[in-house]
Amino acid sequence: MIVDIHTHIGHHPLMDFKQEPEEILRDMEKYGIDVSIVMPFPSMKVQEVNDQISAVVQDHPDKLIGFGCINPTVDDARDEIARIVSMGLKGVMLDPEFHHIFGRGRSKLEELMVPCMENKLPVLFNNPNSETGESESMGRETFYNGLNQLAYKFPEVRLVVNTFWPRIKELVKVHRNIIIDTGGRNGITSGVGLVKDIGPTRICFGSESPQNHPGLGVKEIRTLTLAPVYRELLLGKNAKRLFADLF
Amino acid sequence: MVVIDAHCHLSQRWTPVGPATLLIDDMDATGVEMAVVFGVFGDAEDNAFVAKSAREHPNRFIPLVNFDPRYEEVGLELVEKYLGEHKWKGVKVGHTHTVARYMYPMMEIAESYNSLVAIHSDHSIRNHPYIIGDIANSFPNVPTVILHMGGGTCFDSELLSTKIAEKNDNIYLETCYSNPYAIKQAVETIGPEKIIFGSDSSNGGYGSRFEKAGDYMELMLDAVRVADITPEQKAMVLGDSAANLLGI
Repeated sequence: MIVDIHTHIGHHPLMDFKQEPEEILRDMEKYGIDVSIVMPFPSMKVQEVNDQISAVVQDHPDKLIGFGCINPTVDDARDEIARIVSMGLKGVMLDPEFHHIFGRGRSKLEELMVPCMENKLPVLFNNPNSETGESESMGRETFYNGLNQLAYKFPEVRLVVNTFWPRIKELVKVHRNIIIDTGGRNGITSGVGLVKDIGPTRICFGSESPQNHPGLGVKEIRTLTLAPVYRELLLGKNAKRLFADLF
Repeated sequence: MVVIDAHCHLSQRWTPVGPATLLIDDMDATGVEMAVVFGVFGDAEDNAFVAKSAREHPNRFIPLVNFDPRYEEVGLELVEKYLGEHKWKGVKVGHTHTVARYMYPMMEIAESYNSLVAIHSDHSIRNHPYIIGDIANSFPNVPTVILHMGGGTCFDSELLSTKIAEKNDNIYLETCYSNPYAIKQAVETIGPEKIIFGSDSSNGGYGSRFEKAGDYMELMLDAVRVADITPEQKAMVLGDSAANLLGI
C-alpha cells in the first residue's frame, strides 16, 4: 500500500501554482498510490478553501483524506478547528511562513493544540521555504524552537514536518510525537538518509504535490539504497500505522 | 534524439572516490551521450582531473573550468588558461557568493572568449536566481546558465528563476533537482530552447546513495520526461538546447 501524506488542492495565493483534484487522482492511478492526504494551499480565506477540501473528500472517501488549513493568528481559529471536525476533515495543516505562526501568533498556536489533542487531529506543517535549507538566517532558530516547544508541551499531538526542518534529526530523537514527511523529491534523499540515524518507523512518503511529483517520489524511494522492508514502511505502512485512526 | 547532461561533476576527492568512468557507467545506463563536466572545487588540482578525464573521453565529456572567487586572481588565471589555451566552452561557479568582487573580472574573461558561464543557484542570499540575474544583466553577451534553476531546496526559487530568465535573453535554466511542474512552467514561459537538462551526477557523490548505476541520473531525466510538455519540447530540453548552446 502506498500513501502520500502531503498533497495540495486549489491555488497558492502568492506563488504561481495550482492543482485540481482530478490531477491528484490521475497521478494516484498512474503511479499506484492508494490513498492521499489532501489539503488546501495556505490561505487567508480558510473557510472557503476548507469547504473545497471537504467537498472533494466526500466525493472520494476511499482515496482521499482531508486536512483543513488554520490561521492561528486570527481570533476564530478555534472555531475553524471545530468546523473542520464537523466537516469530517481529519487533520490540520499549518503554514509557518504564510501565517507567521512562530512570531506574533505563537501563543495562540499553543492554545490551538488543545482542540487538536482532544479531537486527535494530526498537525502537518508546510515546508518553510525561505528560512531553511542553506539559509543561516534567524528563521532557523525560530522554527527549531517553535517545534521544540510544541512537541514538548503537547506530546499527544502528532506533529508532521518535512526533512528540511532546522535540526530535525535532533528534534525527532527527543520528541516521539514528531513524524517526518519526506517533503518531495529533494527531501526524499534526506529522508532516507535519516533512517540511519532515527530508524525507519516515523518517516512517511509525502510528495507536497504539485510542487513535487508524486510518481518521482515513489520511484526515488524504490531506487535509493534502503532495505526493502524499510521501503515499504516509508511508502505506506508507517502512514497506515501512525495515522490508523484516519483511514 | 541526442541526450546531453549539462551538469556533472568529476573529482578525485569524493568519498568514496571513484574513476571518471563511474560517470560514464551512469550515462551508458540511461542513454546519455554526452555530459558537461566540471570539478567540485575550483582549484588547480580538481580542474586538472577534469582536463585529464576530458582528454581520455573526448566524445563523452565537455569540460568547463570550475571557478571559485575565493581564490581571487589564481582563480582568474585558471579561467584564462582553460578558456584560452584549452579552448573549453565555459566556466562553472559553485556555492560561493555570486556577487563576489572577482565574479565580474571572470565574466569579462568569459565574454572575451565568447564562453558561457554556469552558476549554482539556490534560495540563499549567496546564489539566489535574482542575484545571478543581476550579473547576467550586466553581461548580456555572456550566456548565463542558472544551475538547478533555483530549485533544490526551495520551490519558490524555481518559479523566480523563470521570471528572471524572462527578462534576460542571455539566461538559460538547467533542470537538476527541479520539478516537472516548474519545468513545464519554464518551458511555456521562456521556451524549451532556453531550458537544458542536467542531473548533478558525478563519479561519486549523490549517485553512490542509489543501488544501481544510473538510478540517480534516471530520476533527474524523469523530471523532464513526466513533465506535461510536448515530445518536441522534451527533445529540446533533453539535448538540443544544450547542443545549440555549446555549439556542438
